[in-house]
Amino acid sequence: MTERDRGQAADVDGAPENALFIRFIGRLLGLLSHELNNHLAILRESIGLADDILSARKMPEKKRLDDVTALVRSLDENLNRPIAIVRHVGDLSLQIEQDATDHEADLMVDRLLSLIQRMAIQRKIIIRKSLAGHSLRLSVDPLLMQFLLFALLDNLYSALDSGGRVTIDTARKGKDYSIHITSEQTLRTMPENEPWPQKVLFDTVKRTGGTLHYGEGGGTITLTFPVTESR
Amino acid sequence: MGKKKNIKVLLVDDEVEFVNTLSQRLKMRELLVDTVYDGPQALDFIKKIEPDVIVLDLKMPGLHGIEVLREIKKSRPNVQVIILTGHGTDADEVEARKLGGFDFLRKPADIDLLVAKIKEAFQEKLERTMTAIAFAEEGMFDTAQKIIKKDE
Repeated sequence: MTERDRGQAADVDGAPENALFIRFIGRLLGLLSHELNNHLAILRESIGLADDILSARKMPEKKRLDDVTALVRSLDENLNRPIAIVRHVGDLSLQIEQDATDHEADLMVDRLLSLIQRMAIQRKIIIRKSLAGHSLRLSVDPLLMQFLLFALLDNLYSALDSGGRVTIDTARKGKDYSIHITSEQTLRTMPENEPWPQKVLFDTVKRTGGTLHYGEGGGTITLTFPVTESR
Repeated sequence: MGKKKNIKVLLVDDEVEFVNTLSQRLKMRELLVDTVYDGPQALDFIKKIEPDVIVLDLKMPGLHGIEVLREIKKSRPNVQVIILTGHGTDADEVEARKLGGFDFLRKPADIDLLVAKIKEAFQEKLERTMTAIAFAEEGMFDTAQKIIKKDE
């Protein structure tokens, strides 16, 4: 399914999901632009500081050289995350253009988790991921799967106090690919309709042929999708 | 002639590397700088020490910068607050100014502009404090209180 096909499918399937999809893309863009802007700010201040140090004539020559060398090294390290973000965004745009079934399930999960890293950091939530590493293809459109995972995590994070821990595991179970989300902390409230309405999420999962199940208290969530092919 | 007073600045931002680098640059410009990394830390800090100017981020874990500004103005109304954010909305700017924020800058900001704003904010704090003292000396305590609490 290409981007154009998706648009036509959305017209048929109904407006709520389409509107939420656009909101999902908007949230992704917001998170990424925030994170990139922070990195740009760090880079700008680091370059400015290097310039300040080079201009500080009262500072001993050796200290100036050592400080600027340390800064240049930190600049190099600070470029890693923006480079990764840009690469993932590029991959995401290619993913949207390509045929929907031509994707590895774990890779799609990993890409989303990397792109939304900041969402957990903003809430001081620590994420541990354990991806099965199976080479599986699903019948579901990967962007739809990523949207569902994003919405479920966003609802879960909203129900957690800051400082929580969340584990995300993937596995092959019979004919299904499952994504299992576990909170190590008791939830403040059940993850209900905020920010993403549960009914639309359940309806969307049902349409993909998958299942969505909450454990008692809402601290465990299992999302499954049928596997079409394994390599 | 009185001794030149160094301006006491508190930087509040969850981006540790950004705040530490900016702190070094401000120190090289003879400002006295402390740093904290979220809103609750900032509120704890100002219980013990009154900075002249606070440079405050908006999107931070735990407590949003607008809420931090509101609390600062309740407990330390004379402290001047400059918002420095990468993602503040127009509505945030309006709200920050309504709550008594001194200025609203976008990240990354030019260091010379930031220093100029910090100096202006410090001057504003000094003038406000001097006026309040003058009224208090005249026995006009209600007026002095109003000046101190103008930002609330």
